[in-house]
Amino acid sequence: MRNGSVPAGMLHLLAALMLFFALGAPVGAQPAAPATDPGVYSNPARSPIHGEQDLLNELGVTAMPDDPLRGQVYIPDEKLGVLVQPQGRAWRDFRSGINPWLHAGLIGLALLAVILLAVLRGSQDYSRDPEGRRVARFRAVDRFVHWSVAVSFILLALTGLNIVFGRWLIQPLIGDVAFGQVTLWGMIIHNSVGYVFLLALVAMAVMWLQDNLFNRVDWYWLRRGGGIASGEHVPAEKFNAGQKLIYWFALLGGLLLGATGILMMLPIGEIGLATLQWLHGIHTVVAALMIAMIIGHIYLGSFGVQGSFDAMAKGDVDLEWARTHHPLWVARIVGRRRRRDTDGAAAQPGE
Amino acid sequence: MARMKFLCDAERCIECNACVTACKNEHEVPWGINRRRVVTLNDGLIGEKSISMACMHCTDAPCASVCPVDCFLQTDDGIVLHSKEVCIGCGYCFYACPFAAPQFPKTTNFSSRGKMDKCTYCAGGPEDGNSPETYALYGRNRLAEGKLPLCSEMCSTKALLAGDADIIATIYRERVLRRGYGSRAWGWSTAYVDSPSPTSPGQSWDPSWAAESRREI
Repeated sequence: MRNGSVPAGMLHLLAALMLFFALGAPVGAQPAAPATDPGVYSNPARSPIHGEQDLLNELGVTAMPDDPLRGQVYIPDEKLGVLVQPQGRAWRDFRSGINPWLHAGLIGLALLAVILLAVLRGSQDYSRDPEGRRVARFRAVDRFVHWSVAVSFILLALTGLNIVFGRWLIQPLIGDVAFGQVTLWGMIIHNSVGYVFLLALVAMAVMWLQDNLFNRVDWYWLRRGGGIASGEHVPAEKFNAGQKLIYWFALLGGLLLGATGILMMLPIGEIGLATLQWLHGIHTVVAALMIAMIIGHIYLGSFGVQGSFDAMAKGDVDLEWARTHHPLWVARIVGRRRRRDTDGAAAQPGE
Repeated sequence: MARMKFLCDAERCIECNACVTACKNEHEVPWGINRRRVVTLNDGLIGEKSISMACMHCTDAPCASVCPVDCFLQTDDGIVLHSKEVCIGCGYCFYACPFAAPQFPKTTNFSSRGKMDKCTYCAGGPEDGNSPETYALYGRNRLAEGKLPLCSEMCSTKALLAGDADIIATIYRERVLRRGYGSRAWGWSTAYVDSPSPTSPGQSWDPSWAAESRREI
């Protein structure tokens, strides 16, 4: 008896009753049918479970199995040997339920922080250098690589967010077929531009590594909260600790996004469904964090801190801006230039 | 209102794969695509069972829930269809599907996933009728001709049942009682929230569930 809920006494009683009916029935008669639908009779002699209700209870297993049910298939496509994969339900709950709220929440928080900063602190101005002297901050190659990362990231973020939200935000506006085309091209862009992003990110990381190593100055900067609360200008080198944090988070997040993204493009049969579901989860959560972070970065690099956009647009900045925000860096390069000038002046007569 | 479902009687299936072949032939399914397949559990062991599995046309279909372009619709009969005009071949439906039903042809560049293909319950595409365009994209619309899915019609042992859920559930129940044994109706508890088991009375099919998910395409 597989059904453990039936008391043993009842089963004995049932068996005794059946024995009674079997003996008492006239020879050659059909076995007595239990009370059931007309036209349906059970075969108690062959039944592993004596009794209709037991049988139906046994069949009425309604819970989804916890583990995937895997079997054999004749076709070469082995991934079709999966009969039921329960983890798909968890992934569906994540993709349709949690993920849009996670993205909306993180992006909303970032926007809120930026708006609060804009309202409370406003656009930070600086006093211009009276002689209009400027300091070179980023070479052309620095800017090219930075903007390659930036443009590809924005393309990736927009096409990615379309996958998360488009069905609710854009599809009702432009119609199903048009949205299908937009999303198809979005996916193609997403899958191609990802490589540009990854290459440019690695190049940027290598070029700027030296200026982004943490030291004691950064510790001081971080303890003062970068002066965001007090409004003071905490001394910094070429990059302040906040910028260094963005560098490292962008590098780690970007590498994670690139790795998971490329793996997700592999055929499903090669990489396995469970792995793909995890890859998607990591990819989209890291992307949400990155987008939130970059919203802050864009604000501080443009409207939030006046004069800082010049660094990436023109390549040089006002001397006074540099003295305000990156005094240690200015001291270093101006000192170097003076040394070079004096060295050059001293060397010339000797030649 | 009919609620169309598949039910595979694992005690009867002899893994002859006629359903697979019939499906491929009827719809001229491209090479490498399997809308239906026979999965054998415990192959060669005691308790071996074969189940013919395809899209189960779930009531609260996970594929429709996760689709980024919302290309799925459910008919009044509970059949889950999708529009290949809208589908982008991202593969999300395969991530979510409990039964590994969605299939992807490798037609595009870099052998990435093409537009998804799956069992249509022999009901063609999202558009009504049996036009050549619909046939090329989705296969034959047998339901429009008053016929049931060919896989179950071809089944030599009548293991694979297709039709109104109440009717096929009754047939299966009678079989189970007559035989005195049976495994469950594979996939039903996973696919249909309205009828968790063919042997216990569930709610009847409510077409408003389909209406909620159905969109004009």
